[in-house]
Amino acid sequence: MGSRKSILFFLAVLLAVGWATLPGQASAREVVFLDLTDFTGPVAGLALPGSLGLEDYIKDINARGGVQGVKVRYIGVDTRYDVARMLSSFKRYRRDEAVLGINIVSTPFGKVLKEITAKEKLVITIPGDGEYQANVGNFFTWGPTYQDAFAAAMDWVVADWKKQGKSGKPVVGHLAWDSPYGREPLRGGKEHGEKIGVQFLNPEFFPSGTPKHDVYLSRLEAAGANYIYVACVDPAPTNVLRDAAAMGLNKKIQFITDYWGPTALGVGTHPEAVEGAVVVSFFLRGEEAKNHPINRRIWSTYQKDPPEKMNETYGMGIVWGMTFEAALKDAIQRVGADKLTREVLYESYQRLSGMKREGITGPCAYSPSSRRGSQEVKFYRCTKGKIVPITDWVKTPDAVSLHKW
Amino acid sequence: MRYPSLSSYSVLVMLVCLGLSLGGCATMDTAPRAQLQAVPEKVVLSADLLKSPPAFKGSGFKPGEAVTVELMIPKGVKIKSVPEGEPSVGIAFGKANEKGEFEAKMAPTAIFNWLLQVEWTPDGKPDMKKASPLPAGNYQVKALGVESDATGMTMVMIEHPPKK
Repeated sequence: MGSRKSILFFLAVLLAVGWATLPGQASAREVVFLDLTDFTGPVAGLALPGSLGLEDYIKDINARGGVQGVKVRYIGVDTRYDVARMLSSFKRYRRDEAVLGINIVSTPFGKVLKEITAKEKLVITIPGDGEYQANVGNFFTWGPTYQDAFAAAMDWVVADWKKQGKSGKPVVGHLAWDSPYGREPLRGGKEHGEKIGVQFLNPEFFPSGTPKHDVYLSRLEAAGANYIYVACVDPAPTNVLRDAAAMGLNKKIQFITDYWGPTALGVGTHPEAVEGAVVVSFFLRGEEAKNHPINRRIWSTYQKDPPEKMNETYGMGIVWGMTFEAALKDAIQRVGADKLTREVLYESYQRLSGMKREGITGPCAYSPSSRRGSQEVKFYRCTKGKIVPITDWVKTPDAVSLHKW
Repeated sequence: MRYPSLSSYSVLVMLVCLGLSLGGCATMDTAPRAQLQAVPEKVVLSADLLKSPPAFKGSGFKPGEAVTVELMIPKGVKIKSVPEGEPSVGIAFGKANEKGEFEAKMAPTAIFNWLLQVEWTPDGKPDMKKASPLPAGNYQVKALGVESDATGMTMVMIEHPPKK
């Protein structure tokens, strides 16, 4: 009898130990949002404030009791814009079932992850590479794709050209980082521009970290550019505009930057050089961002500096958090907190179409057939050291579908 | 209350132990062994590395899988931006071919960040003046298959250029 009881006890212990070591579903009370980002490194100027916005918004979710009782843990890894570090960090957390969503800030790393995660269903939020809209899968862009924003800018160019009473076609140069990101706006964006009557010059690409841009600017000027679209990450576009101003080009050529163009960072460091430049943006910029009630409340609660120090990508990070919160809520309502998985959240992200983000960006455009974070942009102009809106929200054309993928 | 015979328990115990052993094995380090070689095995830290970056090659990985190459961080060595306690930092990556072999070179960002350990200026440029290069010494480097967990190890000797 004693030996039988001992065996039963032994079995119970073994089962308990074995159960504890078996991998299972995410804990019902806490899920993780993994942010592979740049706190330091070449694109930290914009990535860090975005990640701070996300982290602070997650703190706010938890301060409100979590999402239907489920707390969210933010894990941020400083990858310093290095793909090897990103991949190694992804590998480290890949089998952690509490990790339900992942944010990455690098277009090249997205291309690596696309292959690795091809057979899985999970949410990876990422900048605006149009490839993810052309082939819908795990990657959800933060806003409109690069080519959609470029196409909206070309619409603005044509309207501006006509407004000035000029005849013929506006001539546009593209000046960008020599990278997949730098080339992306043209993949469909160029086709849209040509369709609406824009004449394009041969694009100019330069390595990130280039100290002076005179050579590229001179070539575009000599070729007769009326407009130059600049695609690189601030402060690089600010440096391009600084060089253009030193050459006197900003007096005769209208410069437009993509949504990684001047923020408070660039306008603050070179106000005279960026004067007159137009920025196409999918998130609020300038005073609109700093004075937005949610941006301001979250900032004032979790940051020590005054709101005047807020970089506008902080609001973009808040939107990442809002979107995750809405998807998590949807997932919990559908399956319950105990059955949360990456696949469930993946399905929920596709159910957010039309979700409002308090006007910090346009409404969410995720759906089973769309990976676009939104489909609206606003145009701003750098004016006397400030970033001033010159349009309301404008719907972006679908340039992705114009490219042969 | 009647209990089954002890022999039935013995069988049950054996089955449960077998099951738990197998389950437990899944969580233990049973990664397949792979091979890794550093080219060269001795690296002198200087800006010249950008022209001829350190490279790695290996075999024994799952065909087609991504392979991450990690520098194991010895106790007491601080890598900029890597929290204390993290065992390693990714320094290169590659993809295994159909034979399970891979080659990888360190990218400029990896050389700047993890070997030379520069700071970055607000303009997004590496600031060599504020660099704190990896201390000289022998470092273990590990290649890890992202799908298979196949692991290869090697050593790399880090040296600093002679002071002029």
